Amino acid sequence: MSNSKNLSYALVDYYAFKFKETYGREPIVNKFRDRWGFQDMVESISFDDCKRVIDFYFKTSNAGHKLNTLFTNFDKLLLSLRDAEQDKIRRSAIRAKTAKVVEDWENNNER
Amino acid sequence: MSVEASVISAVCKNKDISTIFASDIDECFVAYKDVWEGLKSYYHKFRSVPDINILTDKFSDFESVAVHGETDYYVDQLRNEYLAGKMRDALLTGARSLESDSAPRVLASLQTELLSLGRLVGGAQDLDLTDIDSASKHFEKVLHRSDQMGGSPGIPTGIKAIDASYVTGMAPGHLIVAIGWPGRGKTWATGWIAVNAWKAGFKPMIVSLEMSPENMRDRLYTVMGEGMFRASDLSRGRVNIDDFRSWGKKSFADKDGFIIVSPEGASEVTPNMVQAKIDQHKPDLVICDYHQLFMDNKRSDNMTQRAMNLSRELKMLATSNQIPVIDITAATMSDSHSQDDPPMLSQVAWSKAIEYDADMAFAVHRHSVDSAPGDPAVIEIISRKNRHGGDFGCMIEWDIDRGVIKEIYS
Repeated sequence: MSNSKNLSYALVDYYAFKFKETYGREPIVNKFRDRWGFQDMVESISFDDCKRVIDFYFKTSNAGHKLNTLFTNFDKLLLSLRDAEQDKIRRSAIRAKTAKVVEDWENNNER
Repeated sequence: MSVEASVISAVCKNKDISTIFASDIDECFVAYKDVWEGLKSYYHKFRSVPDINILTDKFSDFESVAVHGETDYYVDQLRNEYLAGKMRDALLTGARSLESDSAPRVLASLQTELLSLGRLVGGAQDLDLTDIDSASKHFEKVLHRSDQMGGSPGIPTGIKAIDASYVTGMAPGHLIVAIGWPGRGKTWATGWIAVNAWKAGFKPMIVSLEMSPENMRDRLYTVMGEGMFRASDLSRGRVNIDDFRSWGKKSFADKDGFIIVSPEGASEVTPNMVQAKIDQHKPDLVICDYHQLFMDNKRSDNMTQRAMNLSRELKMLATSNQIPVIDITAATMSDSHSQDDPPMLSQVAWSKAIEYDADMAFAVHRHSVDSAPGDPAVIEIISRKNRHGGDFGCMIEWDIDRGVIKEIYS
């Protein structure tokens, strides 16, 4: 448990870092209260996933990127993130396949 | 003599109630609705069509009529009579409404009413899979059209990645959906497709509710000019008029028209109005820019209902006019989705209706929104649904200001 406590503090810092990167100012965070939300997160999903979810959260169009929205939606955010990652791999494969289809198509048209 | 009585008498004589079930003309029975319901209920209970005397005994006000023709003949008469009556009613109501209401509102209501009567004209189309002669004739027709159109029966998009995989091309009756996040190149990409269709000899019509027709024209000139104009110059009127005129004369000679339609003032645009423009301009391809700004024919207040109706009505525009329609749709921003990648169909509001109605759907996504001025934008095009072929995807390097475009796959 003490490990998740330490990790939750690390996540508070990471959230503050991403917030400042996005908005150019420090967020108002109560470390001793808000770390409980991060502790729930880190006990539900891995620490690495928590960081990826925070990164992803700041890419969404959420207004203000408030902590409460993150705490109540981190599971949905993780699902969306995984969908987006899978889609990225799929799109890359489709582009490679399309290049071949276009080449064949152009050769057929030339004949 | 009542036509309704003739239909009921013909069904009882010819014992072919299935003709009426297939025609779906229940609502055409008015005077003898109870007799018709009685006949159906007898059929459902005993699985046979009753003798006419059973009906005359049960319904004292019903008198049978001597009939000599096929049931279809009387069904056709009944449908004609009902349709004519309904049209007269609608026109009279419209004429009366003009005394107290504005002409555009009366026209819109009249169009909706008359369009709804279309259900009585169109029926289901039957096709017998084992009819080899009919299939052969169809293939000959498609081949003839494909030969004329340069390989596929539809209009090519001019984007190789799409044309190689969407083997039918933008064929008559197809609803094609272009989805994307706001400001990420949907209008540019579909405008380019329209220009390519126009260069191939087709007549596109863009119904632009998002941009003014002049802005849209500037964009299209930039794409048509292939480096000759800068969008930033055109928007400020910085163009050598003599050069522009000579370019126009050379480019537009022997070409079909290219129509841009925009609403006047704050009026709402419905598929009925688009139909009127199709009748006026006879385009080969229609682009609706964009879905969320259109109003459905029924003018639904409920946004979900409106979007669903609109999807179906645009599909009907495509099928009834036998032209392809491109419906541009904005993806819905949400708290749990990033806008860094092209949207998936599930990220579009009311995506189920689009999934059902679209023949082909693709996402358009401009990746480099923060690129320095002068740097080409990178726009990704990726299929999200293709009923007529495999998935496709490519990147397009696009100098948006100069209209210079290159397809890449890495």
